[in-house]
Amino acid sequence: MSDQAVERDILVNIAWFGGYNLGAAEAVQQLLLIVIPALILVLIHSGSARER
Amino acid sequence: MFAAHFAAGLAVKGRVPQAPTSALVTAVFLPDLIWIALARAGVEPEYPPRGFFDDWSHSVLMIVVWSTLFALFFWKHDRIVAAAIWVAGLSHLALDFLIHPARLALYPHSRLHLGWDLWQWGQQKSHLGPNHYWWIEGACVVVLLAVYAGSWRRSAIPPKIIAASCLLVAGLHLLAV
Repeated sequence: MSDQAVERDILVNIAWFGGYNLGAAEAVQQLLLIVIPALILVLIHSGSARER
Repeated sequence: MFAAHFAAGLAVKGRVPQAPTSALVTAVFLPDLIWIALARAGVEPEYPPRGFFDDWSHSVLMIVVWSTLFALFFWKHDRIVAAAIWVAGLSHLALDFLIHPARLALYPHSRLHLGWDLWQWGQQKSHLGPNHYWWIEGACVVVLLAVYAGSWRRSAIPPKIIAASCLLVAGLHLLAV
């Protein structure tokens, strides 16, 4: 997306929502950044007797 | 913060090992998970270049509310576990109070904002390479992982599980350099 298109997108979002809302791809990326390490931690602790 | 929230969850896990790791990790990231949903929906939009509005997910009152509501799910099952999950949720407040893109509102749309205004300073490169923010978060990670690792005798969590968890969280922080 060109800088102008991004700027227009921001302006449209500000007009509609009062600001620029998170894009779908960015939201998924943010979610995966949390979920993937979280799943690994859960997996690691599933070996602990207290978790079983 | 990112890795520091995982470290906070582990610190609580070390003190209350019977608390499910999945619930602790969810609790420490609850305001961020809510923020993703609200920011996507446009309820908490960014206002470039001024900053962003995150009072519904990250104000002091709402973090307490979200943490309490989530902990209540575990109240009937085990009150100690529910308390641990509540503390894990509140750790988000403590860590974001330290450094966050915007100071935390007392409640949604409150004029009163709390916390230290370190964000701009945090983005500046330090003399030791990474920016100040990275070092502040690193210090939190070290302290919280030390609390987690230090409770290995009491918690009966096998040392190899503690070592693997610490390596993962430290690695996540190192990746953010």
